Amino acid sequence: MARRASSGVNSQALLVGCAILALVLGGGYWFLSRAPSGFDAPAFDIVRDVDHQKSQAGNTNSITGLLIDRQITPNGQLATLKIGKDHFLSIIIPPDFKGGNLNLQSEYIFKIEFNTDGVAVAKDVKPL
Amino acid sequence: MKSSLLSLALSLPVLGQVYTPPAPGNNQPSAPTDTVVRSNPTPSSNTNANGGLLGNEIGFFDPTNDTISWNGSTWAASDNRLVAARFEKYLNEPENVTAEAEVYRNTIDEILALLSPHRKGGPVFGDAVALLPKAALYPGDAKLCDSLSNAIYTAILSRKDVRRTKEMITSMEREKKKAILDADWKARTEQDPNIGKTRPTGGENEETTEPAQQIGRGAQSLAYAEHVRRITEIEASKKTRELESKIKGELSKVQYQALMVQFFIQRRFRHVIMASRFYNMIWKEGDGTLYIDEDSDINKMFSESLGVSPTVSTLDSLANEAIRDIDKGVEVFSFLVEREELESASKRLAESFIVGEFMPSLDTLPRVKKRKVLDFVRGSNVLLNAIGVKDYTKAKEQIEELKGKAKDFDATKAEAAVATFTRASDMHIMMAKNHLAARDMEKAQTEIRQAMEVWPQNPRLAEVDRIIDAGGPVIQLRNDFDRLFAEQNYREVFKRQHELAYAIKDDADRQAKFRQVLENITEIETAVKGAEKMSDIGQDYAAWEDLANVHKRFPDDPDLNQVMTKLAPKVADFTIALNKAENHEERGNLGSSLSWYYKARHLHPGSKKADEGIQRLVQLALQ
Repeated sequence: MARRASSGVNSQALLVGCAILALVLGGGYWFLSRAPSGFDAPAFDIVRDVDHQKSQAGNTNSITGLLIDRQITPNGQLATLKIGKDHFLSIIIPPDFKGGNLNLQSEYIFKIEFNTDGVAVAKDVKPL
Repeated sequence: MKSSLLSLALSLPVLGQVYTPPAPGNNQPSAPTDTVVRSNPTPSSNTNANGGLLGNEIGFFDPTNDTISWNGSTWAASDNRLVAARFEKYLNEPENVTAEAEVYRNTIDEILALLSPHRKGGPVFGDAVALLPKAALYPGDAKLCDSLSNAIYTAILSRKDVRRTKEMITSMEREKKKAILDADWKARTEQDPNIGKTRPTGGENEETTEPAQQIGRGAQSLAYAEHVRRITEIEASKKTRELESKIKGELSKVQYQALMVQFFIQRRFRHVIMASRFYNMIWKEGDGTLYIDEDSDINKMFSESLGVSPTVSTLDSLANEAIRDIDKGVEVFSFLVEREELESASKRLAESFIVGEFMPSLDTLPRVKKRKVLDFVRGSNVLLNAIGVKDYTKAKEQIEELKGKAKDFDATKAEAAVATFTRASDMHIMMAKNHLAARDMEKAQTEIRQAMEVWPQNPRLAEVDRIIDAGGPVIQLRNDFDRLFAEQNYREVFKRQHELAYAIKDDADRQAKFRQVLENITEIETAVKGAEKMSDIGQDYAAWEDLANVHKRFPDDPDLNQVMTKLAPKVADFTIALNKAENHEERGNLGSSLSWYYKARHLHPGSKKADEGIQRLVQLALQ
């Protein structure tokens, strides 16, 4: 008897292909969705230290948030991030800061350093 | 003469009843300055004002002032309570026409007729004396006829005693003459018994004849000496008797005259006339000089008014004149009453009454006539009393009433007095009102006191009372305002603003405070009302923030605090954010402060506080 020639999908190869596709998609999502890492400074815990900013003087941290306000004066500008639902951190943007344009309602990650007044001073910024 | 008689007669009852003028001295109280005529006399300061016919020393009734002036002193006649009361009593008495009184008056008339020197056959002493006890039976006589008959009896006894003394003196004279004759005879005829007798001179047998030693031997005898002593004794005894008789006679005369003067002082003029006529029959020698102490008031009264020494005839004529004058006064009274001139009528009757209270013409005056002036007299007394007690309202009413009653009522003086004092009092009240308006209570009190001194019942004082009454609550309200302000109870001030506003309307300082309170409370109220509206539409943060601004200025306002307390749970997160922001800002923790201000603005995007805080801190942070 003649054996009929096999004309069906190789199920094994299909499984391998699916696995590869899943890896590609998952990796892409992770890549796209991961926080920008750019700064090696520790994240500032706004919930914990909102009242202790002055004691943070000299510390360098990173902070991520939505830019909600910009106060521009001849001496410089002050940007304020909304972190989470209802926490805020104001950051001095020095005149010589090279961070590009900052747009309101955009998310940024700032590298900051607290001055003696307890106000964060932007050292670097990356948009998210 | 008539004037002096009237004055004398008028002053007599006053002398007898009321007053002995005080001796003027430096410590004498000054004459009253008001126009009220006082019952007590005052030394007359105007020597000519009341001057009578013979000068001011004479008693003088001044009808314009209703005063009696005498010897430098003035008495109120109509204002004299005793006189006024007696006169009013008299006006109410019925005419005395009882049979008893008629008999009495007839008896007195009969006595006077019997004693009249013009009676045919001459006066009848015995019959007249016999009628005196009959007259004394009448009570109205007050037993004066009895007193008169007793005085007559005493005088007669005295006269009899004089006669007996004279007889005794005559017999003593006879005895003295007999003694003188006996002594003379003895002196002439009696001889020494030894005359012609002999006795031995040389021896026992020799006798000689001795001559008589004295021819009138009796002059040296004891019998002769006894005669001489007896003659001297009789002469001395005679002189003593004569003197005694003279003294007794004069004493009885003095007693009798004293009774006459007493009758005159008592204004019993008919008794004076009877006594005078009896006197002339008892002492027929015609010596009528009144024996009165030169320093006595009664002697001064006679001598100073008449200028002559008083006599029995003087009393008699004065009494007759008084009777005539009283009768005339009563006649004039009747005429004036018919003419309805009651003021003059009452004055004429009062004058007659003061002088001759016991005269038949007054005693028999019909009560109907007297009653016509009674109302007027009472009204006059009320007017005088009203002016006396400074009740010028009553005085005004009384003046009008008296004007209506009597056609001849002269209200000039009373009206002038009332107008003067009422005006003065009113002026003080006006001044008091001005001081009250100026809140000068001390001066106002002084003016009120002066107004009351002048016219205690001034009806306008009630106006001052009303002002003061109104001022009482005002003062209370002002005190309330001060207390509330001190307690910072401005809400109560706001609640009572309408009543307090009136109380402090003239006080600039309180006004300023009051205005400030009203403005502040209004501001609070406006904020509260606005907050309530915002809260109603869910804008609790905005409501609270508005109230917080006001609360900063008025942290103690209870209503504001109440509303904010009510809102607090709804805005707790916002208030916490702001408080924290402010606290961090104070401590220089600008970063934390900014975080909290932004949180506050996140909760209440319109928050001025948050905005201001942010702006402030941005400037600080970026320096």
